[in-house]
Amino acid sequence: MDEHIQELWTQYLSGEDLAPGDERELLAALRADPDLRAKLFADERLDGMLHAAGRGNEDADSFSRSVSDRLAAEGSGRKFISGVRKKVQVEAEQRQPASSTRTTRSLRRSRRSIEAWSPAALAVAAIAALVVLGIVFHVMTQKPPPDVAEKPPEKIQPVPLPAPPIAPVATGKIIGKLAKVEGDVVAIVKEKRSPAISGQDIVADQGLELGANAYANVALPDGTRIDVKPRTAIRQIADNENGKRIVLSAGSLDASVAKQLPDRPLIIETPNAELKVIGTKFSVLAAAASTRLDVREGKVRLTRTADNAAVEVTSGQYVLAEGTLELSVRKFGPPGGVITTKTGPIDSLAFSPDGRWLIAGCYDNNAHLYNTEVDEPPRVLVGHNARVRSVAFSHDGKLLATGSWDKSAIIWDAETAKPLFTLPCRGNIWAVAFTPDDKALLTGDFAKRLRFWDTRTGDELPAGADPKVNEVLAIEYSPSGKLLAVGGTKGNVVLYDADWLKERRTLKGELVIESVSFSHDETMLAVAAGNDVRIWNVATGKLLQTMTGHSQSVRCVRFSHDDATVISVSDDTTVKLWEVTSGNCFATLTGHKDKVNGLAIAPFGDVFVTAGAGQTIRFWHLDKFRK
Amino acid sequence: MPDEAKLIEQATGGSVESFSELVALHQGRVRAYIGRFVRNPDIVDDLAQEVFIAAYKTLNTYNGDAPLGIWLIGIARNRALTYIRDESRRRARESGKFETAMAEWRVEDVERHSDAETCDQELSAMESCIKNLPENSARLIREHYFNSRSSVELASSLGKKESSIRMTLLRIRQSLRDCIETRLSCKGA
Repeated sequence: MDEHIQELWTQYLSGEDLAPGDERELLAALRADPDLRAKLFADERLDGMLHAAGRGNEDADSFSRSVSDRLAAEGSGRKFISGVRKKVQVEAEQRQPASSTRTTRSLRRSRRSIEAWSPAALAVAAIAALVVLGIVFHVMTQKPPPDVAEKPPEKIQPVPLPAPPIAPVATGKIIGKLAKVEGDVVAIVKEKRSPAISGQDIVADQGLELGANAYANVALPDGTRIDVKPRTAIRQIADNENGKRIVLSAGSLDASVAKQLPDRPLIIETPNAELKVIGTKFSVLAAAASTRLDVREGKVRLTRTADNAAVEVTSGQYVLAEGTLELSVRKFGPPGGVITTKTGPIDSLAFSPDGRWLIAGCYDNNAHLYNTEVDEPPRVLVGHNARVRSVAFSHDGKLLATGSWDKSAIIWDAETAKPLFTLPCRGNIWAVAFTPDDKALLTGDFAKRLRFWDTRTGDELPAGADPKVNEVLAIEYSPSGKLLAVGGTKGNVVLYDADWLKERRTLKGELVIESVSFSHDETMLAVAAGNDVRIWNVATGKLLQTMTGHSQSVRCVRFSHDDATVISVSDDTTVKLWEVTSGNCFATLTGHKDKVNGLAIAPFGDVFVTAGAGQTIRFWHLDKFRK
Repeated sequence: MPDEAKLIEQATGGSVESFSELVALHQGRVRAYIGRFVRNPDIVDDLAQEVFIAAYKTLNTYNGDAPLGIWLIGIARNRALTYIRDESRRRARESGKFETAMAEWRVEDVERHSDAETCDQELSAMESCIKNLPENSARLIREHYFNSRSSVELASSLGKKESSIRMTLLRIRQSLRDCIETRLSCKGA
């Protein structure tokens, strides 16, 4: 490491202001060398850790008292504003040029007198240092015994307080665990609400509420796992002598249920139906007046609450319980699993969030909207003057977006299939995606721009950016909406913090990137790179797998719902299924007779669809190839 | 040594006295953890206080599967990340390019290196590694970090340039980091 840069770094780290030229030099060095940056930030962490460890004991008692005081203040209803935070806020308001951190540190340092140490003082200091160090080490692992502490700890006076605001959960019977929690998940116990965290116990009769970008995985002791999707409310999770019961008020979940005793089945109750499960894999989507059940394995019995009409749904089938319509068990997709089109080649595919609709972007300049439940001609979305390269549904299912090589994108009303706004771009549009809150549409074009459009007005928003991938070919938000991946002709994939479009990481490559796909747990990113599929670790930026086998360009990649499989489609006319852990291809599907461009995973079950130049849309069941 | 499980039980029932004992037991680790990412010691303490307040309010959700210290660090991670992200946004609005870039990189760094268990292991490894430092290095670390002697003060007392002290501290930290990484990788292996 360059000695001068090291010096600048230590100067910065000690809290001193750098001269503008030095700041520029250090900034350039850090920008140019990610390894150097990683090293120096590691140094900063260690420096901070050492400082904090050094402070750890010198005021442990006063710290504990401060916590008690704050608890007392909150308990008595007084609003407690930390003096320090307030000071920092004031500093921020005054827009002082130096950071609050460095200002405070400079003040602290200036308060200290600079004095030479006498030998006696040095000796005393050294002894004191040894004592303090001993205490620090000891307290790191346990409370110091009285004979080691500098002075006997003062007795902390109990502050009269009301009991904690939430009734103790621990008193309830523990029936499971929240194995993973992402985003805004609220645990509801005896009408008390508190933020849920990963690893937290689930007690009998507790509820869960998930926000727009949230996710939770419920793990029951018998091995049952339930993925709870965003915007879902579970009123009750119970386990008693009659079996397990989950009351799903709204939203959707994906369940893999371990074998239950016949007389103690798992029951899922929705607003208008009841599902009886002995042991199987299935998905359920519940709304106020309808329930959709998709079964991937085994069978589930659905009983409609209003009239006790009941059906058994087996592997590969689904049923929709709605109003008093006949309960009809169907196989997902068209008869024979193939839709033959007259649209010219198909470029892209997307499912609506409820799985009812499938949209295809086609070479005939139109998008075609297929009803997956009813065998009827598609609705045609007319508005573009060139091939429709990209299609997307909004997360709430109310809007559609199409991006075309006519250098425009169109936002459509999904219910009426009427255009709402036409968005003029400067280059052919290859990719469109709704932001996680659906308030904006993101377009990526051949003019090397990412552009945001207000979905309520159609106006361009000022947050556009150079995507740093040259021509944009692929964009995708991560399931939680926190990350955005962008790929293009430059060969790299740039991962952005989706909130403020700041680059987080670049995955380097040399081949054109036409498709990117996040795993559902957001730990991996699948990338279509030339003839290969590559899997990257999102957190570390390391390449995990390179899957080779296609003989021509890979056009689209997607993860299966359980992230165990990656599906790829290619110009070589095949669809390949890859095991993520080994990188091996375990199935090559050869139903298409021409290039395959489009791929979409149905929101429920194990179904995925593919389409391409051959003018057919094929429905496949993933589980069929896994066995 | 107090029985932590008993303290938790009493604190869950509303005993602030018991909770204060838990604070005393764990404050060092929580502050050290936050200190990894937040440089202003006053803000470290401020955030650490918030961690314990939040912990008190949700202590009933602690199930004992993981040690209480890890659970607390999990809360600390969220607080620290929120603070750093806010700070980064603020600096992006108010500061020059240098501070803005540093703040953004810091956010990335924190998100990458904030795993509670790893951090806890790092702290333990750091303790061991400090013990194994050569005496002169250990003394400098003690004086600077544990006795709050600035590099200016140390330079004055040791008759060296301040920049030399800073560089020496940097090199000691580098060797500490190597030691910590070795210990963690051995543990991982």
